[in-house]
Amino acid sequence: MTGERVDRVFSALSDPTRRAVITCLSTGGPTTLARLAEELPVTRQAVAKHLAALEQAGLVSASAGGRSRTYRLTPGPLSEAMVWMVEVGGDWDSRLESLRRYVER
Amino acid sequence: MEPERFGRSMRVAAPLARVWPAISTSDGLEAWLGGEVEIDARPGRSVLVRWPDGSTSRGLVERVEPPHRIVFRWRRLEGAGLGLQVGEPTRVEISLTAETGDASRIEIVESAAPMPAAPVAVVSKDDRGAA
Repeated sequence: MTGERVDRVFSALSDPTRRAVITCLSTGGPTTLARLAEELPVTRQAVAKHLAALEQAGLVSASAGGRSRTYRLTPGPLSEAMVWMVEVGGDWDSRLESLRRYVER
Repeated sequence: MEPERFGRSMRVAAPLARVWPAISTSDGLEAWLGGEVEIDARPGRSVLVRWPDGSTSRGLVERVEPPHRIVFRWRRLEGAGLGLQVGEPTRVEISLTAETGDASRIEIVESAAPMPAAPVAVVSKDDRGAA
């Protein structure tokens, strides 16, 4: 997974409204822009903007449904980002063990 | 949730005087980091790690407080030419605290961070005169 892609995922998740959109899609399943705007305390325009950002990060996809496109969660990149985090954590775990052996020798 | 931050802490049976060189010199870092290290442990100077897979991590030293803290920012570069992939820049902070019994606590925090812009501010003669 490239750093750029991880960046997009984390940056998409850095906004509370976008996290709320993800929660809505996760608990309520695929839905339309209009429905999301009803559930969230922001304008329809704002929801559309956040959906576009989530789409760009690959976290949300829209089915071509004409005027009422349906948005659904595509959590693939999310788990890739988690894997990346675990890998970085794993890197440090093994490095720290080497550091311990080195200074305690 | 703080997804862009990794923290690890451990106690080692070695005094600060022994641990500090291990985190602030090229030879010391090379002994455990897992790559070839070139570091000039002074603020604004460079840090370079050549990893065994051919990638490198490059960055700048940000803070040095012997024998307690060193901070640098780096990013990983893989491939070359059009295939070059540049990883996200992160800030690595390694801090040491003395513990009883000639031991030390080592804490490492790596967090997402933009690279600093120009590391050195240049003040021209004209600017100084303007104040």
